Amino acid sequence: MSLRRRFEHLTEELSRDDNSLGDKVLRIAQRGTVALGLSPRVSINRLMIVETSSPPKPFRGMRDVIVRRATERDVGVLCTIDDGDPARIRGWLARGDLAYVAELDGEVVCHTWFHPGPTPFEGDRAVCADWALDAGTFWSFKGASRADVRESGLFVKLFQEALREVFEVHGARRVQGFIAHTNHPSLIMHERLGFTIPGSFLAIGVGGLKWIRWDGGGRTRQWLLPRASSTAIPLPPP
Amino acid sequence: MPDSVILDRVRALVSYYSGAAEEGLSTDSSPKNTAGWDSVANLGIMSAVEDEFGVTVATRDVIKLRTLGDIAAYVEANANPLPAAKSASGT
Repeated sequence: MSLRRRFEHLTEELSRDDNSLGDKVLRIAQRGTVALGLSPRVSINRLMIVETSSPPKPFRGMRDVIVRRATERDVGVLCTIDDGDPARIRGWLARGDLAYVAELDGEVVCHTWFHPGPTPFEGDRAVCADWALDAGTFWSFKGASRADVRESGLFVKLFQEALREVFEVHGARRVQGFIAHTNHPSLIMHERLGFTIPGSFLAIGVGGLKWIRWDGGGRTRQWLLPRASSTAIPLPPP
Repeated sequence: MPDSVILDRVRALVSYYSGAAEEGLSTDSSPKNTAGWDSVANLGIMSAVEDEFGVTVATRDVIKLRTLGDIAAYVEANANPLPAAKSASGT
């Protein structure tokens, strides 16, 4: 993501009334570690877990949009949408992650990705840890739109149709993912598509260690883990 | 300025899908300045506009329609004359 786009994101997040002062301070600290070059030695993330166990209802509009599975031939254009790494995207496709694209007038303008359980999704290791998914659980880990189609609803159309296929064709029983706590547009979109928010993670990494706190289901749990390892050591509840 | 009957009907649709109060919506209202008019609401609004006015809104056009006034003007330019609009204009 370009520096300008990051700045626009941050400005938008900080100007929203529905972000508390604490949320804003945490977000500034998070962005600050990146801007000051402290990341990844120092990292701060607060993430809302979202999940759903049923496909969303279909939308009737945008019938001229074609939603289809992405293939190797799409890698180049996918990278142009959000500065993606071609080797990483090829790796996701090769291991069987499901990618869907929306085509408008023959051009790919959005993409969205799902990783099928039970194999752990390693892509968020820098933020949290690896964790095994249940068989039948799909991890929604990426989505992006070309700048000129953002906020139109086109990504919603793609995500909604992709979700339906993940449930109905690929046998998903649950789809989960996480979203930055200040990304209200994405949180709202997920809620309106039937997702719930069972809890949130706070992950703070300093040097070779990371501390993770989970709040959800009426309880708090916390772990410590070495950055180089995916094995988390449970800590007593705070 | 779009026909007032069309404008009122579009305003009602935007209000329904965004949750914003009708009286607070003007021709300049847009997803940028209207709480609840997010991308999911926008998709609902466009689907409802197609049903309500019998138009097909191409996705390229959805992307260009930035305000409530834009949507009403699009409907006016592309929909068949509406019974209610005819009555209101006395034709």
